[in-house]
Amino acid sequence: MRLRPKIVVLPGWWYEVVCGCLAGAALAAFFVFGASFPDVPTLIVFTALMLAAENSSILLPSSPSVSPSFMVVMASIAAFNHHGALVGAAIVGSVAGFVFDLLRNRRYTTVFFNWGQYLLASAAAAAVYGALMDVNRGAAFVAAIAAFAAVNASSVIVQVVLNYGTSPRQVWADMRPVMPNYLAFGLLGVLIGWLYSSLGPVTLPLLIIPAIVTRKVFASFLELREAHEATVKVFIRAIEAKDRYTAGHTERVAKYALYVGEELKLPATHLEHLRYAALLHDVGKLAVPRSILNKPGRLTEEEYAIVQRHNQVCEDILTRVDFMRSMVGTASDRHAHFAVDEEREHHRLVQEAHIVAVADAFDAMTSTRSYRRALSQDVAFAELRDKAGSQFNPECVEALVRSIERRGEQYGLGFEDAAAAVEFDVPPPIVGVGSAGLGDLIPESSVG
Amino acid sequence: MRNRPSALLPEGERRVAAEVFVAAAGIFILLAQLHGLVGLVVAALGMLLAAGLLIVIQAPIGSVPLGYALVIAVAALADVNTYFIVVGLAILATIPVLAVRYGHEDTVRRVTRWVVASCACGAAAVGMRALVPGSTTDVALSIASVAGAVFLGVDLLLRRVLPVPSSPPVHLAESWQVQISLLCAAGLLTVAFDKGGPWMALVALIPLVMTRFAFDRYAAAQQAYRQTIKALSIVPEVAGVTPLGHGERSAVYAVALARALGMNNAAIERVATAARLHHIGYVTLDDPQDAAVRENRVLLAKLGGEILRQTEFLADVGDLVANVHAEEVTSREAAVLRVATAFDHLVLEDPARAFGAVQLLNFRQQDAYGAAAALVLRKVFDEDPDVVHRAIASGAPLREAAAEAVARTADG
Repeated sequence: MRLRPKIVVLPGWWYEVVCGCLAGAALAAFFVFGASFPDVPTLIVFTALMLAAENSSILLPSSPSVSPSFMVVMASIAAFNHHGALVGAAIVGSVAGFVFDLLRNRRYTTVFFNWGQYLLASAAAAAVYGALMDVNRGAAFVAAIAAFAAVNASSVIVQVVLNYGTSPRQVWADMRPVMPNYLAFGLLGVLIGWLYSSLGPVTLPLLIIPAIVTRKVFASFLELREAHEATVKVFIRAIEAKDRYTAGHTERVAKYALYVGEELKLPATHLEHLRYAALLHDVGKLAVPRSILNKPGRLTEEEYAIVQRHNQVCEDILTRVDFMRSMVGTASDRHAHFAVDEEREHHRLVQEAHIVAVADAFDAMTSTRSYRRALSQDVAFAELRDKAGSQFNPECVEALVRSIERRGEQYGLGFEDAAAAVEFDVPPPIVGVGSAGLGDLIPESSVG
Repeated sequence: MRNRPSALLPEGERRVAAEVFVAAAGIFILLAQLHGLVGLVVAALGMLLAAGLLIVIQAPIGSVPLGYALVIAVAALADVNTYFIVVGLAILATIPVLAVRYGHEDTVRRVTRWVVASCACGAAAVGMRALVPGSTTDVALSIASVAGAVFLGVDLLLRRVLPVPSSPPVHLAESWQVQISLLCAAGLLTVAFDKGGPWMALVALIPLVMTRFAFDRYAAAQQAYRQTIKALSIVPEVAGVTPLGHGERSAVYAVALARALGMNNAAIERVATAARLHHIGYVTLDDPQDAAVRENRVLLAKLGGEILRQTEFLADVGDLVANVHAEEVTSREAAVLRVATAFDHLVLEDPARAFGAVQLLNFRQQDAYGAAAALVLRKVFDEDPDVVHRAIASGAPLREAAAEAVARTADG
């Protein structure tokens, strides 16, 4: 048996220690200069809450790099208010450093660092709040949140850079999208603190129990979404294993479909649905023999019929899946309502199918297939516009062209995704425009 | 563009109606402030309550209105006369919206449930006031908790007795989260209003809104996932490996059996998914047209199990699918799946065959689990012979869509 090391340190351990010491000095200074001490029962309540929030991972939903226990810090500032918010928030915040997992893994310097940086960030927030409180309460809270975010983010960035050797720019790029969470969590925390201080301790269980439930449901939601994603990936892999020329195709189609969807200003829920629809649009290929899918050159009438049957029929049915009213009645099958819904759903699904068709065609034209080299983007746009109104929905075509031009992106001949490039047994011929998507499979005789 | 004669209300009618109610409440309050009319305040409260009853949480037991928390808080804070006027007004106001949204039978059931539950809640509040005199916040809170428990309990009971069509089964083990959140919200609302007035009460609603958000996200994700499963289940059916609609119909039978056996929602979901996907192994074949492999159902089941086990979340479903054609089943869920799929293979779209199929399946089972499931099938079929029609109707859109699509591809 190998002995476990007494303490685990990462390269940036000295920085962690320095931060921790700095925080200790700050805390000592508060006491030396006689900062007022907060109400002890309240302090105990919030400290316990913070410890639970950080360690149970059930109390609050966590997101990368913004710890939602920040809510507790802001709640405590709002609850202490005039009476010892500085010392109180510093103590409550510092407890967030005691993560049992880190202690178990013997990363003591990291625990010390977290203790310190949370203490400093919380104290900064409390200090800013204290300074602005009399000017404007609301602005004071927002400024306090900003102060916390600044101290917290900057110290963590340096720590990650020193420990893992990542570039600061990269760390910031990872963190930036979650910055709004500071504001959301912070304001929520302020609210909780306010309710606590105005209504008394009886509110605490009334607030915490629903928070636990919310957190649990949210965790199941995240788990379910991950499962969904994983399931779809498995089947995409199965499709791509069968038809290697379309490696990356489904993901690109999903990307273009989202471009169009965003351009058409679809709501977020519809966009998510659109994405899955785009990812699954080729699912019918699973029913087509590998030999036909990978055949260089044109298909015979018979082969074409097989592909057409499976792919087209599957796609057609997919457009109706949503509105195939389930009578199964498993939990929360919120179906079987009224014709209004059906019409509306149908309209939405038809629009979805139009979007996916355009995205599919664009990707088919701008990537190299076994029967044809990639076309240039301009040719693809021209072709889409040419067929707009007959084969494609003009609105969707224009939306795709606009969104790609606005992004300044280039696809097609010369701009193909290198990672997705495949070696061909027979070099693909350079032929005319052809049609796109499934139309690509149209036998030679029937193409213009 | 097809015209939509049935669209009496614009998209999201429930939300729109809720907004209208809130706006009406605002106008009433404004008027009441100007003229000092108490009646208008009561009307405004009724409108707010009506809006609350239309905004629902998608819970495992079906939709639960946020307004429940408001009803309980009003019971705890207002005197009994005001309570009944306000709640009555609110329920009356929601009836047209419900009727448009859900149809008449469904509306009657919902409204009955609300009326009975709120009467019980009011009575409980009156009883509590007699038992615990005084008007402190603690008293109000205790009234809220007792009246709330009564309200939610009666609501739950009525969901069992008077189920809304197509609503999921009621299991306390799965629904307590929603109930407890509503009870806490009602308590918080009571305290906030009692100590801080209407504005504080408004703020106290925020946690409940967040809970609703989480439940909604979950329900939407579940819906989306289910659609993906359906989409995948279509592939082998379109290819002709198995009759069109077989997956959907088997799912209906599997759910009916699982419910009759008293399984929880997670298990029901599992057997439904397994029933839809039990032919999915077909998609992993190199040449899906190869007749020899297509006939080998044991191999297909094994392949299906393998691909499903690749995702952790579907591993259990994969186990079920892998053993769908095994000689012996070793669990209730596996037995349900086998009996449900076998039943559909025998019946297909001809209800006349159902009776014989039930007999045959009861005769054919070789192990205890299978025998139990077949017995339950007989019971389900005896009690609710309509299940066969429902199953066939579930699979029908698929067949129609496929026929339409095939006709279209043949034309083109």
